[in-house]
Amino acid sequence: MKRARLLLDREMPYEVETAYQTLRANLIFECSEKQTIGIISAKREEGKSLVAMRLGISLAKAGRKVLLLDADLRNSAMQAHISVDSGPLRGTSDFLSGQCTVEDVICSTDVPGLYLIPAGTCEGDPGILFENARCRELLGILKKVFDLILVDTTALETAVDAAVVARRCDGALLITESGRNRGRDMADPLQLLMRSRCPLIGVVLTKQP
Amino acid sequence: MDYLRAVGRGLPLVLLAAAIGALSAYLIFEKLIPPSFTAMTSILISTEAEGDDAAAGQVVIGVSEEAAAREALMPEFIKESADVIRSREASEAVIGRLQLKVDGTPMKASSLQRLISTEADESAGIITIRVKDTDAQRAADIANVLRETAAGMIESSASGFHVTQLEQAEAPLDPAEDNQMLRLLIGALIGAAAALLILTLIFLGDDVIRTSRDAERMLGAEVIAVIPYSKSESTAFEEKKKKRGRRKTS
Repeated sequence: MKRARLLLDREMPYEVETAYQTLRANLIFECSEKQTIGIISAKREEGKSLVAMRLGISLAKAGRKVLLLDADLRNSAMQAHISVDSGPLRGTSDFLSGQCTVEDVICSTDVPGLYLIPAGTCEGDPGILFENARCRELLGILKKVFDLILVDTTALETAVDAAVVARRCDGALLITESGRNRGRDMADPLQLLMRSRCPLIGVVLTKQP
Repeated sequence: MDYLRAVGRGLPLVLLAAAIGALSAYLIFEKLIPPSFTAMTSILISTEAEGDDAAAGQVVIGVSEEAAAREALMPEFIKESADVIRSREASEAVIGRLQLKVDGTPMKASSLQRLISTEADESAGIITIRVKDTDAQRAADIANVLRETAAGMIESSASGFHVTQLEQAEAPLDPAEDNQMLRLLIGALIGAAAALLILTLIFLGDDVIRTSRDAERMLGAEVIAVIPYSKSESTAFEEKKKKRGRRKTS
């Protein structure tokens, strides 16, 4: 198993740390039966990947065995925040296209209890890859091994990948940046999510001034 | 409460609009609308006997019945005289004598009537005539001609009354007193009201999700966490992503 290092500052402002603790607590209270959680947002750069990684760290520190699955194959932010010791950074796309096994793509991290699967190197059509039966197979395997799987997805405005991935999740967290989205602009993304029949666990408001 | 917060955020805009409103009011009234001047003259109306005695400098000891009747009619006559001064006929006569024109065409009597005001002191028998105009000399000319014309009309309308022209109107040196502060205040209030109206319209049309309450109201879902903005964290995250993007393209 490859080992990845998370390139995130471990020191956070107190109020940010507290906010993640609240998120973790609420997530544990409200969806103890949900194992696969899609992290979605309407637009790009609303803080989705950062929330996924910070939440993953927080849950792992609380004793959960957590996997971060990077399903943003179009514009992965997570991949920029990890460093792998050696070899190509194979991940989700490589597995979904059948080029490797689950064992090849799972990386342990420098945070005990936290694992991740990077976006990968294969440049197939992400929409088709997620429709693939291997996607269901991947989540099936992961559910047996991990307590919680956090799936970082593409922004809903970019492609429908997030809705396709969300359909395979037990629930979704909607990340929305404070002051960036209008209520009327959120109607379509929410409808897309509803059509995917993925229950919305709750909203995380990010970058609140 | 949200509305008050929105107004609070827009307070600089309200103050700016109030200042612009006050400045606009000043410019409109002082620069675009020319100042007006008020020329003033007056006439004294008295009964014939009073007039003669007054003219002769004698003291009247006894009054005839006819004179007493005229005295009783005096207040009413003063009012009617004031009406005569403001009448269409008087204005037409003044326009004719002074050849008053507006934009090259003869001035309308109604336009001149609007410039004329009278104030009657019934007990003293004095009618003060005021003429307001943008030209100080013209205001004085109109007042003087109007006084002479009206005096003749009043004297010919009833016998037994005497009209004395008391003072000659002079061209006023200063514009009529304007309440500049009031204008500035009104301008400021209109500006502030306009800004408040704009803020209200913006507020009513604003559906940007800023707070957890906005999110819950507009998304119909519970907000389970609010992550405060952390400049260091956001900047570092975005920069790493951009660096990676550059590496990927090169």
